[in-house]
Amino acid sequence: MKVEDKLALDQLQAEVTRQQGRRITQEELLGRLVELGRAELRRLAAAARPASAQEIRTVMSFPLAGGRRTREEDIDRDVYGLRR
Amino acid sequence: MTALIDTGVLFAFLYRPDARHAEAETIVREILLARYGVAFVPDAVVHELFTLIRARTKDARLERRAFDLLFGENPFAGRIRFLPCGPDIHREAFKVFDRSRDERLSFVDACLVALKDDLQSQILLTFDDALGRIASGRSR
Repeated sequence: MKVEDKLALDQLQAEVTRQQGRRITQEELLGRLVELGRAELRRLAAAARPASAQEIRTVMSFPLAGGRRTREEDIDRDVYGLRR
Repeated sequence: MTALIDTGVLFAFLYRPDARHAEAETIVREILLARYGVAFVPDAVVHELFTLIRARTKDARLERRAFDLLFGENPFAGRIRFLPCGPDIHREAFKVFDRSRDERLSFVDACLVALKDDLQSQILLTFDDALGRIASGRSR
């Protein structure tokens, strides 16, 4: 198991333990994650493979044309009134 | 490999007139091709994205497009993972936020830095130079 995945699993275990008010073992947690994986099989499988050309075209159809030109540098001004 | 996606990348992708739209398209294409492994969108970025769209454009169609892109049935939504910012992340984020007053980071930026550290994520997909500098300076 990769370090980042082990870390994420530990965090998940701690959070589920906190929310349930009782300690959950990693074995129990992994069992539930497998159940969730089965329920979300399509999403799980989709994440593992590169998108097809048709899938990429689908996502590339999301952007909309608009009015004024915007810039990254202005995000904090536009949202928070901050100036860098 | 894991990557975190910043607000500006999602906005620039969705809004063609943005100065970085072409770069954002490239990033989204790379996410779809699984070049970054797992791509995470922190909850704080979701909140900031919708606030940004409303503040800048007031365009209901763009808000709907953003919602559909992130939460609809499409190949992009199927390849990203959402990431909550719990109390531990907020504590770390506040330290970054407090230390980076001169850089004028937003608290969302500070959360991204804290999440990047916490996940040991290699990549922060951002167009924000100051954020990129701070995040890479803290990488393990």
